[in-house]
Amino acid sequence: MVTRTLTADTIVQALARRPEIAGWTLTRRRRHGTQLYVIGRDVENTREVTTEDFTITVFHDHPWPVGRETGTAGHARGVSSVKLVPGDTAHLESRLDEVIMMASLVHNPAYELPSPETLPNVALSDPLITALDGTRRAVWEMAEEVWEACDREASTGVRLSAGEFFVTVSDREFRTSKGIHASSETTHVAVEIALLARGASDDPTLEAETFRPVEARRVVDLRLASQVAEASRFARDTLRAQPTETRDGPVVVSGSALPPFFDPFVFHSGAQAAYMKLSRFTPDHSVFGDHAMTGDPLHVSSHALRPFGLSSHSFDGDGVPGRDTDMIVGGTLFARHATSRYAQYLGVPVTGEPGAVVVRAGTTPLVELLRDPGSPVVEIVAFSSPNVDDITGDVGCEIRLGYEHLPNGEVRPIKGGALAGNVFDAFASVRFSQETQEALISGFGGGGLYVGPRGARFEGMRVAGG
Amino acid sequence: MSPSTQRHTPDPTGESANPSVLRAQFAYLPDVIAELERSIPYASALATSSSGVRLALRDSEQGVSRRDPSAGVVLTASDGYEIEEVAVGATDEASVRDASRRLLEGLRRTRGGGRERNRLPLNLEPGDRLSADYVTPVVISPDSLSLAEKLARFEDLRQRARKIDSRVVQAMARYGDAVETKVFVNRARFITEVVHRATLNVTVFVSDGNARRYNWLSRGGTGGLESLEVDEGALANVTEIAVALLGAKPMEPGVYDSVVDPSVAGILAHEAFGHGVETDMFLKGRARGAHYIGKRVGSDLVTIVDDPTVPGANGTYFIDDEGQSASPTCIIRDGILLGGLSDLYSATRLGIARTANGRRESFERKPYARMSNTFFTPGKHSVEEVLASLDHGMYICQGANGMEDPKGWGIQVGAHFAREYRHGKPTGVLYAPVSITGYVPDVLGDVTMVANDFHLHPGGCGKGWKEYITVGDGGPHVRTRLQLA
Repeated sequence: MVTRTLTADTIVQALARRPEIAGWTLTRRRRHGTQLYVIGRDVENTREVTTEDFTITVFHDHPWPVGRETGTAGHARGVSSVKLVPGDTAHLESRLDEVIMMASLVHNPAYELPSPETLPNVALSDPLITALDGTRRAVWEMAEEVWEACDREASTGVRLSAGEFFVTVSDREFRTSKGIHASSETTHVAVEIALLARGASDDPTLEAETFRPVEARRVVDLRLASQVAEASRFARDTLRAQPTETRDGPVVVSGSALPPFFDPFVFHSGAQAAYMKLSRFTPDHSVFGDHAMTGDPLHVSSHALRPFGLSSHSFDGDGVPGRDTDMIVGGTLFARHATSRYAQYLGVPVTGEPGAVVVRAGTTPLVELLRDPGSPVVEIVAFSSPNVDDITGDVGCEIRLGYEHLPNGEVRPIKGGALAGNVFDAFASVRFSQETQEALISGFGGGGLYVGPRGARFEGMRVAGG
Repeated sequence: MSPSTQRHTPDPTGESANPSVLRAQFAYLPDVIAELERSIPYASALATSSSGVRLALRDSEQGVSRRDPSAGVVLTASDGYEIEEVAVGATDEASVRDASRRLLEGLRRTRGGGRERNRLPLNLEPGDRLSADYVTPVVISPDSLSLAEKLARFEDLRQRARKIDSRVVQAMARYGDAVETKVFVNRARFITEVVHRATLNVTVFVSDGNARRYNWLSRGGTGGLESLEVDEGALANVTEIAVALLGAKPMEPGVYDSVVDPSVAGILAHEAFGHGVETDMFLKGRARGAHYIGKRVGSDLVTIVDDPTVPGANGTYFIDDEGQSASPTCIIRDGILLGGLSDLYSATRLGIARTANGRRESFERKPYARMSNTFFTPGKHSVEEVLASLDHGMYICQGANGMEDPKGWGIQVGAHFAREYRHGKPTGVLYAPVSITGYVPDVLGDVTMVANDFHLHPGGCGKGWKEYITVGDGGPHVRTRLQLA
């Protein structure tokens, strides 16, 4: 029996037979990956995952319903998407009928798909994974590196509780009715480790844990040995940490705890947020509103061309070439990041989807930010969850681990309680460290890359005791 | 095989979601399993699919799309020591048989990979024989409305929310319906499940020209459109609170006598002793609860249950993703920790009873011990009595998020706002946002009143920072003392 499987060419030919479509995009994604799950040195599960799918987006132009006219094009544009898998050959025509019907029912202001442009070359694939002859070998290499690093920590009372290792190789083919035909290959590596620290007691209820998720495009960028070393130190410090006390005073947020604080700035800088009337920023005005800027100037950029960046891209979901964009310069909204659709709606330049969030570092060494002759400085290095509200800028995060830096130089670990405040207030007087870091900006699995100061000192946030 | 088919309802969504069609489509799976088990001691197969539509409506923008039709099959095998899985985004026999061959190859490589490791024996049991088909009861099928009618209905709802107050700058409505199918096969079981799901979220954004606030309501779960009713009072309440939040004060950090509404109570239960008793975390040494089985962890007013059989709830199912039939698990009874929620692997390794909590994000991910619907059980006081008991405290409302800490027993719950109470009455002062932190046994040990109401809320749940699944959580109003900021 011969089984025909769906191909991009088949779909493009079928779309060409549909004159009622005003435009279309087609994305074909193929992914192959290996996942390894270990508990201590024992393997729980090894998994191999292979998927392929086609996402078809169609545009349908039609008259506005009476009383609903918006925009100047004289017609409404409907858009809808459907995803197919290679075995859907027999369903292709019916799925196109359905997606066209869906697009005909929704009414949006008109916008055009972008035309083809020269696309930049952006390195997004780890050559080591190919050299290792596949994803299975790569996950084992990562596990071995973590096991060896944990062995080095054993004498300090720290051991590996569990680890999860993911390596995925993807390729994407993108085509549009405007003639864009592009492709890209990417790799994605991710590791989660949980370390347990035990003190002098054998009581397992007195152990402390550190959980650390990291992800990157290249294995080398995970820096697994140093991740284990730092997580081990955090676990040991958690073991002896004292409850946080309520206080007003300087707070430094550092390491992986800091990047989520920039999420609201990226959100409110966006053209989509402005179109939705949710952005509090106005071009050429301070992003801090009436607050006087007394701290380091805030510069936030989007870098889509950064080699091996998690959210870097050669082209975005509309086919717009990746580019670097300054969004906030000196605390003022300089330019909005804008996909093709929202750029047309607002009449602003197209930047495409954002890439890595790059924040300019300060001029003060981190050690100076942690020092205050008059009062203790609280440094927070890990939150339970980065609970920062994109819309309001409100912060309310439980402190998983921090340090109290006393004026006499003593440093005491603390845990529990919460940091509360608002980023739009707090960043007006922020001071950034001169040291920089690369870290995830928002969560695991879907977050982008943050490149910026390793620490930020705030004067107006409150630490609530635990 | 001894058939014990249970619930059947007419399937309104087309033949692909019909149990008999599923059985015919995957009739080859028992043979694939038998073939695998000629080489290894245990194998199983899980085929899943989902389909449906999503609507996203807001000012000057409408979106409609089909949900990702994420059809695929995952084959699970154990060589008596470890588990190996191959997942493919295809459901045809040829693709799955090819995956089966690769699965055996992978197991051979694991055994002969050049690494000398001490491997612990693993004896996975297939469970009692069971052949069953399950379908979610649906009162009002989403298919009873055309797509155009759905768009009109929810756009109208959105427009009504939009017009309630001049300070509303945006109103969004998100609707989704889905049919999720599952076929589980091992040497003892061939089970099909069809879960129907419908959800609705309305979010209202307000501005006074400077600050922006928002509020939302959510409806839905498993079942049909019957769970999505929103009356004018509910819409007005959402907007009224959003506007009131423009004048909300920041919470003064401290410990407060508090009453939490069911949405906040649900997140407390979920984070405190939901994640805290997932037994894969026992196995990894990551859960303090493992050492407290049979011990007091809360006041004697505290009973917490995980129950995947609650009709209509968001975390409801008939079998878990490892073929275990759904049944409730009492986690804490009268303040005493009774036991955990298990998946097949951790239950086997720990030598404890399986519960129906082996769940996957999708066929692309492994199963973990996960919650379903987790809640405090109701008490004996009226809600009015519980609130009237607050002499000087906070009524904490609209649970938003939370984070677990099974090892340290810390807790973080985010609530949207709190109402100040004095002498049993609201003062009219609102605080927002509200962060609840604390030590789990303190939070549960300080529970002094539990109301007799009960509400479950639809939600999503991650494990750590990933592995998202649908869950429900809730319970009654609960009075305790909380560290707020």
